[in-house]
Amino acid sequence: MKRLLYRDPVTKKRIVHEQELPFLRKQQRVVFGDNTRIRPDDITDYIAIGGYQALRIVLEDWTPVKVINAIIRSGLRGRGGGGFPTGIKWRSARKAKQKEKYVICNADEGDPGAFMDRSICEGNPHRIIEGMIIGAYAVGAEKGYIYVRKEYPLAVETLSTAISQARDCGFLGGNILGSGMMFDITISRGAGAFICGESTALMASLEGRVGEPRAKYIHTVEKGLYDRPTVLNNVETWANVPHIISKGVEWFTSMGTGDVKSDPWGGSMGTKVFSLVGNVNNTGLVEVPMGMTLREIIFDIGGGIPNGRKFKAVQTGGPSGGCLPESMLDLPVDFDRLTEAGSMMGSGGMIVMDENTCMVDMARYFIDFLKDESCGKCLPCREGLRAILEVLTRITEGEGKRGDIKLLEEISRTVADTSLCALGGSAPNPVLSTIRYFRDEYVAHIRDKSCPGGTCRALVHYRVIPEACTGCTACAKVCPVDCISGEKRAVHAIDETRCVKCGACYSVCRFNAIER
Amino acid sequence: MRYTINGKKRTARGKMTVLEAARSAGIDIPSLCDNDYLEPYGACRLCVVEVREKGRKGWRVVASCLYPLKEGLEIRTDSKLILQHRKLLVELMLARCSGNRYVRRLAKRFGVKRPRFGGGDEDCIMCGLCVRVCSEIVGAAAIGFSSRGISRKVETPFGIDSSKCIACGACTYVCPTGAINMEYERVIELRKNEKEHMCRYTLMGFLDEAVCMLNYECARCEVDQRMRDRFDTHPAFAMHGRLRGAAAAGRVKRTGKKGVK
Amino acid sequence: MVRDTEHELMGIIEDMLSVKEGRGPNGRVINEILDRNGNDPTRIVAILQCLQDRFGYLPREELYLISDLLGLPMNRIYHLATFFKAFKLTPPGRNTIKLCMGTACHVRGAGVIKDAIERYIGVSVGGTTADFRFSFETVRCLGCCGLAPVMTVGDTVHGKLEPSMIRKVLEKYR
Repeated sequence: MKRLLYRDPVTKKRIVHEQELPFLRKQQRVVFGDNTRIRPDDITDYIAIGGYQALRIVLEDWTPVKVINAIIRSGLRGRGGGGFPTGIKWRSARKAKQKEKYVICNADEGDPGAFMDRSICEGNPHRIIEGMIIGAYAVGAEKGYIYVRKEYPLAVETLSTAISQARDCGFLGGNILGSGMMFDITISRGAGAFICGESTALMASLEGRVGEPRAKYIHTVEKGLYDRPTVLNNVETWANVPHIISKGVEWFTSMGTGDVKSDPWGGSMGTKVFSLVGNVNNTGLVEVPMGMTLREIIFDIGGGIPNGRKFKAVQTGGPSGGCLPESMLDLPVDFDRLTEAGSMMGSGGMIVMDENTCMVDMARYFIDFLKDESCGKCLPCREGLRAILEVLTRITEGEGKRGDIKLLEEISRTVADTSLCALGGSAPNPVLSTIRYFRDEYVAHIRDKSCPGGTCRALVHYRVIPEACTGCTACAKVCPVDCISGEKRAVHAIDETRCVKCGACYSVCRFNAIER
Repeated sequence: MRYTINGKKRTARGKMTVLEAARSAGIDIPSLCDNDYLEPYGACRLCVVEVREKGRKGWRVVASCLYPLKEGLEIRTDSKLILQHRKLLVELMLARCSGNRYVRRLAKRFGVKRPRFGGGDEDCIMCGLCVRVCSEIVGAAAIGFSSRGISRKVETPFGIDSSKCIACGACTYVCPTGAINMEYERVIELRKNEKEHMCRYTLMGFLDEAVCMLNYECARCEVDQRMRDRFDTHPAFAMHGRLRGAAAAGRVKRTGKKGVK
Repeated sequence: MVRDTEHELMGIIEDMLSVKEGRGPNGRVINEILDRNGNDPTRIVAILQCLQDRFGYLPREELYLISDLLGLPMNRIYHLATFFKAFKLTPPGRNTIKLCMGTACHVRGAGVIKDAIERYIGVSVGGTTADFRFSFETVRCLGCCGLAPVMTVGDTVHGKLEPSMIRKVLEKYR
C-alpha cells in the first residue's frame, strides 16, 4: 500500500494524509471545496452541510440594504474578470427606479483551458442558486437567468435539476420560505460565441438577438436586459455570496490583500479559483487566497515545470490577458497588481509556458483566437486584429521588417482605446505584454530570423545528426511527405526543400538523432 | 447643462450626445455610421473624442455618437491622441477597401497614403446604415448582416434574392461608399411581375395608386423628380418624416439644431 | 370574379392552416419546437438549437417557416444562424472530426495535426468531403488538455495525436 502513496519530489517522503499534499496544503478551498462533500443532484446533501442557511438568515432578519452593505464591506469584487465591486453594483441596481429588475449568472466560460465555473455548476449548483436568490432579494429582482455555455451539457442538466429541486423545497417560486418574496430562474444555453461572455452581448443573446455588445456608457445596472436594471455576476461571484452572509464579513476579509474598509476598490478580498494548465506538473483547479504570489501557485502548488525545463512565462486572464515573465513571479496575485503588470485577473485562467514556447507565436495564437471571436461590429476590433495578426504572422514566418514592433504597438493602442467593448479593449494585451517582457524574442525573429522557442516552422530546420542516427528508418516511415532518405542501418538525411516541418520525425526518433 | 469643449465653455438643454453637442458648437467630428434618422450605432469609431467627467482625474476615449452629454463634462475633439487614433482607423479602413474611391478620398483627407498592412478590395465598410435603414425606416428587413468578425458581410438571407425587398433604394442612398447599387433592369422586371404591380411609393404606403403610367421605368418617373426637389432626400426618409412627424422633429432636436442655446 | 377571389382566399387560408396544424413538410416538428419554447421570439436561439438537434443542421425551408410563424424577420434569423459557431446551414458528413485548437493542444502541436488531417481527407477546416464521409472542424477546447493534442471523431476521443497516426485513426471511419 505504501508504495502507492504520493512521494514528495523534494523531501522524498511518502504522504499519508490528503491535507499534507503540497498541491492541497497551500490552497484554501472556500468556493469549490464542498464539491467533494456533496452529490450535486441532491439538494438534501447541500442542506445538510448548511446550505440555504444564509438565505434563511437574510429573509428572516436582514433588510436588502443590510445585505448590500455586508457585500460592500466584504470587498467582494467581480470574479468574471472586471473586478468591479459587487456590492456597489447591487446598490446601483437597487436604486434604479424601474420596478422590474433582473439578475443574471454568467456561466458562459469561454477562455480555452479554463473550467472553474464548470466545476462549480456541475459540482455545487445550489451554491450559485442560493447566491442568486440573495442577490435578487437585495436588488429587488423577480427573475433570474443562468447563461450556460453550449459546451457544458452536464452543467445545464445539473443546474436544471437543482432549480427544480429548489422550487420543490420552496427556495424558488412565489413565496420563498414564507417571506412573500418572488423569484425564479431560467436557464439559457449559449450557442458558441466567446463574445457572449461580455455582459451586453450576453443580454442581447438572451433577448434573442445576435451577441453583439453595445456601449456601456449607460451601465447595465440602469439599462440592461430588456432595458431594465440588471445585475450580472459571474458564477464564482454568486457562489461567494452565501458564505459571506453565513460566515461573516470579517471571515471573508481575513483573506486577501489591501484594505476595503473605506474604499471597495482598495483591495482584493477572499479567494480566487485558478485553472492551472500548460507546462506545469500538477494541472487542475486551484483555489488560493488573493495575494498569493505566482511563484507559490506555479511552483509550490503546481509542482513546477515538467521534464526539467525552465519556466518562461505565465499567461493570466484568458486569451486577452497578458504574459508575465520570470521576473514577475513574486507578484502577489490580485486584481490591481495584475492589471498594473499589463495582464489581468480575467476569469482565472493560468497558462504556464516553458522555455520551448515562442512568445511571438503565443501572441499570434491569442490574436488569431480573438480575431475569430470578434463580433465584427466595430472597425478597430474587426480590422485592427486582422492587421495585428498579419504583422505577427509575417514575423513568425521570418518576414518581419524593421519597425514592425512599433507598428504593432501603434495598432494595439488604437484598438485598445477605440473599440466598442471589452473584447477589443483588452485584445491587444497579449501583444503588448509580450513586447514589454519579451522584446528580445521579437528582435530575434525580425533581425536574426531565428525562433528562440523553436516552434516557428519557417524559422526551424530539422537535421539528422549523423553520429547519433542508427538507421532504424522510423523517421522515414512517419514522414508524411517522404522526404527522408536512407537505407536500413545507414545514416538518414532530410531533404529540406521538401520538408513540411511537421516534427513527426523529431518526436518519433528514439535516439535523439534529429535536431531542430 | 454646462460643458467645456476644446476649452470653450458652453451650455445645452435636453438630452443629447457629445457628437450632437459638438456639431451644435460648430465643431466638425468625422463620422460615417451616424444618421439623424437612425439610432446611434457606434461602428466606425471615427467620431472618438476624449472626455473627462466631473470629479474624475483621467481622460477617456469614447465614441461621441453614443456618449451622453453630462453636466460638467470636458471634451477634447482634436487632441494629438485622438488625431492619431482617427488616422490609424482610416488606415485600417483603407486597408480593407483599398480600391474604393470614397475611402481613398477620405484617407487622403487624413493624410494616409498607403496602408502598412494588407486587407482587401472591398467596397463595404460595415457601417450598417443600409441594414438599419431597411429594418428601422423602410421596415422591409430584406438585408442584414451575416457571420462575424472579419467574415461579417451585408447580404440577403442565404445570399439569394429576398422576397422582402421592395426595391426602394434607400440602402443605396445611405451607403457612404457606393457599395450597394440598384439593378434597374431587374427593378422594372420586379415591379411588372412580382410585386403585384406596385412601385416603391405604393409599397412604402406613400401613394394609393397602384398603376404606373410609365410602365415602371422609374428613371422617367416624375414623382421621383418632384420628391427630390421637395425633400432633397430619399423618399424613405421623407416618408419617415411625414408618417412619424413627432419622432422626426425629435430627431432634429437631438441633432442639436434646436436644443442648444 | 368574386367567386375567384374567394376561392383564392380560401386557398391561402388553407395553406396557412396546414402549416399551423403541422401538415406541411416538417410543419409538425416545427410547431412542436415552437410550442416547447412558448412561441416566444426572444427564445429564437433555443429554437434554432432544437432545430439543429433534430436535423443535424438548420434546413433552409424550415428557417423560413419559423420566420413566418414567429413574425421574426429572416435577416435576423440568418445573422444568428451564421453568427454562432454551433449552427450549421449545410448537412454534416457521417463522421465529424473535431480537432481541438485550445492553448494546450496548440502548444503541443495541433497545427501539424490539422495539416495531416487536411492532407488525408482532402478538405480544409469547415468543409465536408464530397462523399459525406467526413466533416472537419476545429474547436477551441475539448476540455481534456491532458490528452493534448486531441480530437474527437463522432463521440470517440483520440488523444496524444501525432501526424503519423492520422491515417490509421481515420481509416476506420466509413
